[in-house]
Amino acid sequence: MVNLILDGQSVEAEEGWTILDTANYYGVDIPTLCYVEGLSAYSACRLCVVEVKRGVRSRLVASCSFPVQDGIEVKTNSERVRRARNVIIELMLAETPNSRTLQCLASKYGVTEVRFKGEDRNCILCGLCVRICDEQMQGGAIAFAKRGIEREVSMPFHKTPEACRDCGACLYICPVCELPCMGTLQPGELCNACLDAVQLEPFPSGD
Amino acid sequence: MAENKTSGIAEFVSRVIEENGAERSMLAAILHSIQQEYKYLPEQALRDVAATMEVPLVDIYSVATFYTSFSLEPKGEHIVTVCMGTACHVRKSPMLLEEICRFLSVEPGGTTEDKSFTVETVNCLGACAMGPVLVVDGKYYGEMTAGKVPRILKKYQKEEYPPEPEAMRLRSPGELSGYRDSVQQTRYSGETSVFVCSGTGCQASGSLEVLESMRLELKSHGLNGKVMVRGTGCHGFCERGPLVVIGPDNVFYQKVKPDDVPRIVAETVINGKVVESLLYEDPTTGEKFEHKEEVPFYAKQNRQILGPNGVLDPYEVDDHIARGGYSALAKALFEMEPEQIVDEVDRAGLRGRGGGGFPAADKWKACRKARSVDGVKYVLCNADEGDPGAFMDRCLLEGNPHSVIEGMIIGARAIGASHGYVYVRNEYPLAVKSVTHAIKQAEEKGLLGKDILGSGFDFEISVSRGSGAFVSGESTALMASIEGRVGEPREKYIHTAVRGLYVRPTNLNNVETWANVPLIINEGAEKYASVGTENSKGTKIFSLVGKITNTGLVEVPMGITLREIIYDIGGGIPNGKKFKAVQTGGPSGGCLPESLIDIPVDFDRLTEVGSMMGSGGMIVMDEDTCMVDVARYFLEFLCDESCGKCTPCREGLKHMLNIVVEVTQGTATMERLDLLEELAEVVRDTSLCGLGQTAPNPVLSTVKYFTEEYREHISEKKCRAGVCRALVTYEIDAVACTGCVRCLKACPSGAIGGEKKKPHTIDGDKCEKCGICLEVCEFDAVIRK
Repeated sequence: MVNLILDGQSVEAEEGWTILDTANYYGVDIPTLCYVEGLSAYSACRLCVVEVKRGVRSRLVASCSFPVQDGIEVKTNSERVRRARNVIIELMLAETPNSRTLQCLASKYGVTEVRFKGEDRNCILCGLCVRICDEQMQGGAIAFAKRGIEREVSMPFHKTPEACRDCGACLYICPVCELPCMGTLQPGELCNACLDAVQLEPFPSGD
Repeated sequence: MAENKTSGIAEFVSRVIEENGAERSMLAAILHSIQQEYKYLPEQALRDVAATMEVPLVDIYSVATFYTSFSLEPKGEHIVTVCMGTACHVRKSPMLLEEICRFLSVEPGGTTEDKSFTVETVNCLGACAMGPVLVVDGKYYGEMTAGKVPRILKKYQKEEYPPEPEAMRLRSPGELSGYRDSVQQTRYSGETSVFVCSGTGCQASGSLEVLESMRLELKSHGLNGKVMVRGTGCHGFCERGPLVVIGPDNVFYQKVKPDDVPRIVAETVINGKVVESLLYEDPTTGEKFEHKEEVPFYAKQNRQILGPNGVLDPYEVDDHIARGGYSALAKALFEMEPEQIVDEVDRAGLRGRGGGGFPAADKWKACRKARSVDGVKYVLCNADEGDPGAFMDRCLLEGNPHSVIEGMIIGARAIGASHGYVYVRNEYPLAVKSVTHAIKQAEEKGLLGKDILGSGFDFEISVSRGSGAFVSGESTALMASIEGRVGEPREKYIHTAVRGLYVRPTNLNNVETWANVPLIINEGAEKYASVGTENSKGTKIFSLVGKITNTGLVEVPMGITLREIIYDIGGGIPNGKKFKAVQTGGPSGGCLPESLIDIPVDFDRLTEVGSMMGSGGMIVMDEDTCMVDVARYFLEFLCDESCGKCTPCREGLKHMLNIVVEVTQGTATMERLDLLEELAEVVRDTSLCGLGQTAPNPVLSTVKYFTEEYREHISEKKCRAGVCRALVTYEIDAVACTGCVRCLKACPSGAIGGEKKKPHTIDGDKCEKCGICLEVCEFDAVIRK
């Protein structure tokens, strides 16, 4: 067993668990986007960052892939985590304003403003579709193409390859191409309709 | 032409796959061959590759679109590449690119309609001392100006492989030292020797022609065989190339042309006299120096790693052996236990030269201790030197590849690895060639491969070529790239020393780090550690470039001050300009102002002040450099090179760039500057890999040390360096203007009007603010406001 401190509480975790596994076990809420149980961890969206302190040094790590270690102190809702998380939600919303998942995250975590000018790309490049196609469906029909700001999920040469069986798993798992958020349309706009209803209570973060 | 070849695609692809093997790790090499043959990757070829190698087509499509060396669009017959590295940028490569595109009527990245030229940009070719640099079909042209463009777009030069020596396997340390003696006696007995620098920088100034004339001239005097001639690796003083050094006294000639060769042979080689006019002359004092060691550029250096570059033919393993090469290997194999090797490196205090400065011995220990499922461990050499403005690794690999190979074998022995890879940038064709050749020679000599020197230790090295992605220099991305996948990083909460290449324990060190290893083994940890500061031992190689009198490669003891490097070795700032900043650490580093140039060069001290050692680019900036523009430059570079996997790096850098562009255009507010800082901190805190985590450094350091310049751009709409085009205007002083029509003819946008002998005027609407008029005017009549 591994002993660590999670949001001020001493807890035990199984060897090999990630911080996210541990938090889920103890009912501590950490938001995730590119992580889904059953698919490999990708550590790309960075929404699940938590603060890990070992000795005097503390840093932000992706809880979905960071394996628990003896003696670490984890804070899932410190000032540093909240600031980073909110900027990340803001960055994703700038490009994907009509995702209900993201709009709800904004309300939940109190993001009330998008300060970045984006364009509606309708994809957050979380890679869930790519991984479900490859890892669960043995499809290998879609993948990331290009890099940096031009990165996109693509089929080879933009043509449906033989490998695609039209199984629909990619659509099923996509956090963006669901029913759109009804409150907003344009990049930079926020719905915030349920801001007061769902916003988090201040969390005992042990700060 | 590509069209005629399309019918043979299937045969070509199957032949290439047969030659390389259908291993996934050969994918990049296979795609490189196809790209080279057809000048692009035809869709049919990729389908054939997928089918033959049994890899999903989409994976190959991913790889083909990720790396910039590959193109899915047909390209022109001639590839014109303009370097956009930092050093070239501060020497106005954007203007050069503009002129080339205008001349060929093509956009950057595009191909001319007749498919004869493709114009590309590259983020640093590592020929920084010669900047701005233009490459046409692999031939380098240094110190380019817009005016030279039309003349150049034709030439092509074929390179030859030097003759290969006969192979003879060495089976023991005794045979190695016996062979060394015989090589020294038979081949290097001549008293006089001629060393012609053939590094990329000197080649760009025409050193191959000098070398050829030298061989012919000596032959005509019947001196071939009596005088040793060597085309060597980089001597470092690229600014003054082509360089020729005459041994044994090291008479140092600079800016040598083929026409000078007969005089050098007649006077120096035959009569031992010095040709005055070719000596280096101090530009300020006018003093001339005869010998290499006396030249101020070399005098303060400690060239323990770079030194052999100047006397070795990189294609001759015998040169390396004659100078004591592979003696450290013999010692490590026969006189030391693996633990002792690690201990020696530990006590020497060797820290990684690739950027972070992580203690090499700690990595080695972790990798040595790590368990491998099948006993296989890997040792890698990172030669993906992507930092714009840095080229020391290129020079070492080009000029002295055996020192790197020797270091790797010793490391492999210490760690217990059986296979190694050298991962080299594709933008360094000479380095690829030289290291590939050196590996082959070392294998033939029994210094690499099975049963090295009869010790029973097996270790082999393969070369893996990068394909144009800066992020592939990151350790996990580099390993993915070697495995034939997209070179994007992954989390390394479990270190690569435990789980690296092919999920095996893997040790990665940079070229310069490996080159230090034989030295440590040969002279011992204590002697090695006597150079340097408390926590940074040995020497560090820097590429000193930008607005500096003596550009080139310098190797200095750790602890030397930046001022000593810039003023004593570098000769200060040219043209009487004022020093403004020095940038170290490439896109991960920062810009340091004049108030900090007395700090010692040391891993920890540089990090403390917001920069870093990095791989060793040192770019000097003068008063004509705008610090906001520098921040914009690095952000553009990083946006271009980000793999796009994680949100903060991909999206965050894009928005940081947007804000900095607003500043350069005078449309930003102070609140936006605060947002820039907030965003920078989040990107640093949350990015997945080192690229994103350090990407904000150029911005944060310029905001910190040059706040005033940001404020001026925002509040006063003023760019004091006159770089930010939106904030400057050009006018002609009617009194000073003589009406010589030079500016009128030079203006590419036709914005200057007027007649001969009457003052000219600039039409503000047409003016593109390129500044060419200011450069060509001889009467100081063009004013920039």
